[in-house]
Amino acid sequence: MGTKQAGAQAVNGRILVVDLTGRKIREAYPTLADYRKFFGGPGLGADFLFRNMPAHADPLGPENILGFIPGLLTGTGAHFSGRYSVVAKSPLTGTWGDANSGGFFGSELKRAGFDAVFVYGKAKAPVYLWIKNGQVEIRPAEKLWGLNTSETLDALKQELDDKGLRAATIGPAGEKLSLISAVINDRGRAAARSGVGAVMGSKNLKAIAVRGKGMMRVAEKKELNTMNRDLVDRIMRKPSLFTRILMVVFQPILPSLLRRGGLPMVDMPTLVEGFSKYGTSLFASISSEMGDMPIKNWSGVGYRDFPMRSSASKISDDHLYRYVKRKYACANCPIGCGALVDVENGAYACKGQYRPEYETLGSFGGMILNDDIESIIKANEICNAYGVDTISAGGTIAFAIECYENGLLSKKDTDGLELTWGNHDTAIKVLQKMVNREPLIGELLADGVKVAAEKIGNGAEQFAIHVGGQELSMHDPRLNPSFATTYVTDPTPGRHTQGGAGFNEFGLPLVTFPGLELPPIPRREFHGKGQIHAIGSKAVEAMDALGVCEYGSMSGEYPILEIIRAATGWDITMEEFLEVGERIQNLRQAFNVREGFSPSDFVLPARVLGKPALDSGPNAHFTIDIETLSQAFFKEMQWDSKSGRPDHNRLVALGLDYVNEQLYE
Amino acid sequence: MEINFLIHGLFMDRVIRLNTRVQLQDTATFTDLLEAIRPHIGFDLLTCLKNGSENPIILLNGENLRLPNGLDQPLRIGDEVSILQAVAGG
Repeated sequence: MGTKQAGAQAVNGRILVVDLTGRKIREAYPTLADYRKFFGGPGLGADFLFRNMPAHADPLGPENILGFIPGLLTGTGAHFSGRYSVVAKSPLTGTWGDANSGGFFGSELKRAGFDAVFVYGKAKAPVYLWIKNGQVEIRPAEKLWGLNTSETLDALKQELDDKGLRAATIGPAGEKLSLISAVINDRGRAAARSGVGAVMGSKNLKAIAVRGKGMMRVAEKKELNTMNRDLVDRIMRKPSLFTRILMVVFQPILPSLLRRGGLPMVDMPTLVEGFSKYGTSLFASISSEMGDMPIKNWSGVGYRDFPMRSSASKISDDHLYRYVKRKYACANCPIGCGALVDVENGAYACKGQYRPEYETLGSFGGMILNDDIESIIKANEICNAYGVDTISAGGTIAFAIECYENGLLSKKDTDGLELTWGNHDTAIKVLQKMVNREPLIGELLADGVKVAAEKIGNGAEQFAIHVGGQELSMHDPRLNPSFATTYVTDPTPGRHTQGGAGFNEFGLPLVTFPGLELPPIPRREFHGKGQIHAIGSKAVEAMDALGVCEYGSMSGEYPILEIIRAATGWDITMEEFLEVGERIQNLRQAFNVREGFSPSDFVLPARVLGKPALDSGPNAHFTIDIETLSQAFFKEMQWDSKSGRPDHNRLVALGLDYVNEQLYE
Repeated sequence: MEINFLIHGLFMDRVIRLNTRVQLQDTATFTDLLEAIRPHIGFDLLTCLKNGSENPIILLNGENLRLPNGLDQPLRIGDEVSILQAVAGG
């Protein structure tokens, strides 16, 4: 990094580095070559952390570096490009940690003049950063400490007298160093995984508030606008007039028609229209029925224990849609899969809360056999307000219920609460205690299932469903086995959005661009999937580094190379695009190897592997051959299957010589 | 005989959901069911399954029906056949 590059397109050419211990602020200037090698997001983040953080740093200590990094395209106006990443060494897993989020924080940060903010050290007392039009202040945050994320945003707007500012904040859970805590922006968009909220809390950093009036320069503004328009035309193709009439006539009465089984023909919206209306809740009930959504802490069968007809449909699309008050779209998104909901009455009454995403419907629904949608909306509200990952929180409550059922927890441990399946009232009470780290059950569960199982002992580990400490996402590899590969081989274990072949097995490839069509592949086979898994993994890293939402790429129409060209002026090939993703994956993996991790540290619970196999349902009599799957991926990535170490020559070819210096000393 | 039939999910780039009862002959197989529901769903699912262009989960009373052998699976009165294709994720 040298001096600021003049005339850079799509980027500001400068990043912010803040030492909270010494209250020092400096700027650094990545070269254009740096941006082309790493784009932004986890790419710039992995490069910066690998170079600047010592190995074996305490994740909750001052040496850990916390980065907030918009994608390369974020802020340029390219459709689907509103995302940013939060990176750090994860206190939850001890590995490389990252998470990403939508909303408007990322684009506002770039408009404020910076392509990234890296924070290290620890403030003596709570502080927040105020970044406005290239100016930066470290300001006291004692008055904000203890506020929830929404209250924090309101207080910042008032204190700074700026209603338009955006902020990434932690809630009380992050302040109390909950290892499953999240960074929240826009009141309910979450960079939730890897425990990044706790890293922010450990630095006494309550929030980063940003405001900018700058506009990102792009190489071909007119061309970019044309591509945006064409993209919308292609992905939002209008259904036929007949279909539209059917939709209008039948949609309001669809549930009752379906219950009576009386609809002769249904031709519903296109996928994009479905996403736009229902968001990720679209057919969550199908996921339960088909064996994708884990049920009853991964021990159940959706078809039997949480049936679509009687239970799962109550937490899915149409039932949830009844609460929607208005749509919500992230920056530069033409679909708008988000929504704000109200619950008018009852114990879970709330207003203007984000609609729960599929993962939340799974973790607070099927995982605990809860079909009360209002309670799931409430759980989502609590997690957003206190700043907690919904996947981990729901998974941890499911774990606690199973421990209680098996006598490993009693009412003495739970403050008198009866932890039983489907008991949503108790689940919400437990969640409240978790996010506040209240004594007994709250303290016990506040750091996720791995830590809780260690505290409980007596075999509780068998009910703790995690890889490397991180609770698994709501996609069961016993249906689509390549999710198992992703859960154990990605440098941030336990996540589903890290690419790979799982979604290809699903029939919905996560990345499929013009020029990179990855086909659906057979589910129940283990051989021959290494290459497609590796390509998917690289492509997702590159997309995250661009700040592009995966729903953009899933459309199959996103002209990624042309958009990069219009924004940056770079004539980039698909090979180079994938190489950027590979470079990032290698850096993330090298980070873990440097920390002393090897593949044997990342093990799927026997239950999730199908050992023993389920005796009924869609996933019955099926056991995953994780060795075959992960070995093929390692081979394709040129990572040593025992040590996990990336190949020396491949690192040289990727321009990562400085990684070799540390891995091959 | 009467069969309970349910199809939900993304097929042929469209979101489809249909929950209905289908009248079939007593000797009907899964293939016969697919022929019978063709006018209801508006496309030839049988051909799509045979050529692999659609790869849904097929359940007979909650258990997997594997293809191609399952095409000849005899059906019985009151059976429930579900055809489910992924639509969303988190």
